[in-house]
Amino acid sequence: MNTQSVFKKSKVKSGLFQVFCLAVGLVLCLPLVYAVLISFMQETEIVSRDLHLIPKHWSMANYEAVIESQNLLRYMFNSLVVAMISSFSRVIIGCLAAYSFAFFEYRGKHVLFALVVGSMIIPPEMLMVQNYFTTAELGLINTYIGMTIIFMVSAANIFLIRQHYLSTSRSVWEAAKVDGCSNWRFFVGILMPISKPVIATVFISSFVTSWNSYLWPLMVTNVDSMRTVQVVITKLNASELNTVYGQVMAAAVLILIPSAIVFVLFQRKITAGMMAGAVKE
Amino acid sequence: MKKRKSLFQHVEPYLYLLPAFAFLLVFVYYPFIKNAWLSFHTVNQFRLVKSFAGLKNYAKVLGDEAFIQSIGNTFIYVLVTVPASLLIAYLLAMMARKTRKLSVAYEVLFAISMAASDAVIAMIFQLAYNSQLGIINKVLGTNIDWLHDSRYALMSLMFIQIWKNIGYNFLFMLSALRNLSDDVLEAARLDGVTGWKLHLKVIIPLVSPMLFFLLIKDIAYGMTVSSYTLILTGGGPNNATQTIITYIYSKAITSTNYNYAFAATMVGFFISAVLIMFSMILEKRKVHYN
Repeated sequence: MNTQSVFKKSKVKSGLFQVFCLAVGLVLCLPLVYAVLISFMQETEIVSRDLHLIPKHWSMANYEAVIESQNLLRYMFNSLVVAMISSFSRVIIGCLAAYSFAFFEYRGKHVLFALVVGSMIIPPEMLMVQNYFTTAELGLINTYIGMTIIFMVSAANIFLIRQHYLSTSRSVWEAAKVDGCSNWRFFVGILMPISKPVIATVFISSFVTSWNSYLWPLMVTNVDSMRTVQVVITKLNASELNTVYGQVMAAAVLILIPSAIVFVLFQRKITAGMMAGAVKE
Repeated sequence: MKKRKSLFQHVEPYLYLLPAFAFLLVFVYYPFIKNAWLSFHTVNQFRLVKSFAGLKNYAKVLGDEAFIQSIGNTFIYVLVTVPASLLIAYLLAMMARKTRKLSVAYEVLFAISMAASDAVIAMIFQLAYNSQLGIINKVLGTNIDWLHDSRYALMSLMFIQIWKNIGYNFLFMLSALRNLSDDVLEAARLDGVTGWKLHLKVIIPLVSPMLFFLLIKDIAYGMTVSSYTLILTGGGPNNATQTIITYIYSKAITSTNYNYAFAATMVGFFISAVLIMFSMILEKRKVHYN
């Protein structure tokens, strides 16, 4: 057998293997495919008892209904505001704290850092009941600030940004000090711009986490106009029995689109950033 | 000559920490300490302390069958979903390890469940599990009420969780496997190590730091699951799907029985802290760092 045919054979094999991988991937995505297909079906098709998955008539009626009569865009706006506030906050507050830990020497630094790292062992879900009372006492029920307040700081993000500063920016810091650059100017003018990759990681992962959160926004809102999409979708089918599944699936697809786009575009960045804080010591 | 530091220079690093600590104190440390304090007291429905209770609340909550069942459910949940999703993610990552032409496409397909929210996933599976309209009964030709039959309810929720966790575990496992050099694998192959042995003796030890990172993360996450139960079953039927967090939530928010809720929170915290520390110790002893 000459080398060329071996080469060809392995190429065919690799091609087949890739097709196999794609097929496995599609099977894994079946729940999502299912939602998309149902969302285009008409009600009569959804409630029919025979098994069929491809809509006979592709219909946009469900999408029109959730956007117009269910006002889904309003709730998406709420979710967007909440996600933006907490992502910006996590970046700014996280960078400030990491700056302090990475570049300054002062009394109590190690204890304070231990307090940040130690807070990671307490699951946020265990604190939600007490935090709900605090938020209520502050008069923040049904406000955007209340909906984001427990997501404003992430200890894991502080840790991640600090690691990044320590590994990349020490020499820049020493050079800037020699040039007589003030601490604040260094932070705003030099450190923030050169830390774009880690900032992007923190921002994107915060955005997806916040956009997808369910329990907290459920607890701190009780008027319809302040609900987030994640809460609203679980209440869509509460009123009528079994008849609005098409709309629920249309809403599911609409809610999934923003986080799926962010995820597909920035997947590598998110993992790279999380890895840096996770496994390296 | 060195100038003495001004007052501002002394305070400056603390100022940078101020916003972070303001939030950590008010929304992590304060609620934790307050909850611990209140759990040793009898409180009324306005959360005002009536009397010191010692361990009475703990005795009550640990004597509550529903709470014991929620702890049991949570353990089952973790013991089933964590290994299952890690194993599947490992197999997928092995498949995807080599970069090929279509890698980008199937990597996204393998990982996309990570981008979907609990609420969206719950609603999709609510329809899929529906006894009359759902695809699952249609395909299997069965007539099972997956979410409301106590024999199947917990299993059905665990199935969703496994699916959800695959994406995340896959991505992290993939980057660990891609960091392995081909030389190591080739050397093992030349030594005649193949099949199961290659995985157990060579690859898994080499990616063990990542495996343990995912294990700790998944356990911590699994100990605090609540969304699927809250959205799909409300803890029912007969507490078959109640978890530690949903038990606390129902005691505190739904029935304002704070004496139970606060003690249950401390028990839940204690269990998850012990589990996490246990896996950290295991990591120190077993993990292979190169």
